Amino acid sequence: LFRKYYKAANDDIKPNRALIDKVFEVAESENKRSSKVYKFGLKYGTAVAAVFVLAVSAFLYPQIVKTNEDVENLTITAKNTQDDIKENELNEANIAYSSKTTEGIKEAAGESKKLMPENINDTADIAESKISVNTEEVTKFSAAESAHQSGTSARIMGNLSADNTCTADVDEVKEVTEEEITFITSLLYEKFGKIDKDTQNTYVFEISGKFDTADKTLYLGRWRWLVDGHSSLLTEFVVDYEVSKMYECIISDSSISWTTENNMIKK
Amino acid sequence: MAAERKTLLMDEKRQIVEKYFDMIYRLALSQTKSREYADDVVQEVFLRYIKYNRTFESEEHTKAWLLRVTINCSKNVFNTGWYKKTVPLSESGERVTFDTHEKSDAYYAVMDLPQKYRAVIHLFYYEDMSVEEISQNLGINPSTVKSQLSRGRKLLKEKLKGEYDFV
Repeated sequence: LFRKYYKAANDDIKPNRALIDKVFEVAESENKRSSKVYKFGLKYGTAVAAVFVLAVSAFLYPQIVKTNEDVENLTITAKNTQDDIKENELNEANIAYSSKTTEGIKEAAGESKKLMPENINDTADIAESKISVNTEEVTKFSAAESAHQSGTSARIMGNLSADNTCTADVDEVKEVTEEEITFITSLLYEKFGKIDKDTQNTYVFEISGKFDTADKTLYLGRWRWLVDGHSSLLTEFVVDYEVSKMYECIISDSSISWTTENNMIKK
Repeated sequence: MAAERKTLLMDEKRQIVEKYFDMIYRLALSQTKSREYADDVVQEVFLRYIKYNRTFESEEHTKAWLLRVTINCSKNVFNTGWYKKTVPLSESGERVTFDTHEKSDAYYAVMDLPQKYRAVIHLFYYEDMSVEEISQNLGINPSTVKSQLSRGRKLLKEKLKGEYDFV
């Protein structure tokens, strides 16, 4: 068999395991070198940085003080200018007010009275809309929070069930009948098709035996490709009679083992 | 405390290196076809692993990381100027020898395949990985793995002229 000879050839090649020690030596020496630089940097670098900062501060201090004084003067000037502008605006408003007639003032008063209830209604509407927006936001937040929580609990459940490794003794494997083989392989072809879409190779399913577990009877099988007239093993598997659960398995001399982590039958 | 933790971490890393050393070496050899380059690749991969500061979720995650880095480092070997100007001894005539011609045929048939098929063929036939596992470990699509496996097998069959059953 090709696999057998290829494995044997690779097993004959002995790697130089002294490389392991060499790798760790190199890693350690690189680590020491980097830590020396770090310690040196920590000890002297900080001192150099402190001296540099002090020197720069001493040099720049008079200029900073001068700049602060300039900024203060500019602020005072700006404030005075703003006060002047405000005073001018007030004078203009007084002139405009005195030019208005008494009737004009009355009309303005009447209109503002009419507008009052509407303003109140508008305010109520705005308040209502704000309340509804807030309620929506709270609802959305609660939904997101509960989705997050349910996601977390689902993940925890997944981890808990992820380790399901099962085993069975090879001695427990019994023979299967023709009817069972025909029934299961027909279901497998229904699920996976007869041809691999990616490679155009024909699928072949073999059912070689069955054994009982605590829950149900499982069937042992092989999945192959037909490639240019010869068959090529894809994987060995266990499957139930209804072909609702199918897992890859490893067959050793004495046992069959599989994990229920990845069901190959997609729902 | 920090020193103790560091020692413990290094012990764990050493265990992993010793466990996967042979696997990584053989994969590197299948990729570079030269013992000298395989040695270089293995050292590079494990140095990166030792210096890698992030923690791995599981041993499977570590294994997948090592396999991917090995493939990448092996590819890098072919891109270096040094490689383009030199020919390693084992490629220029010093070939690995085997005690039977069947082993030699099988091994060198794989070595003669294009590089992109060698990784998949090696992991499938030597490491007994399934299509799904190869896909997860190398981070490539299962369809791509199947295609490469199928084409690689076709080439192997042509090279070996149907002498072996490809099961």
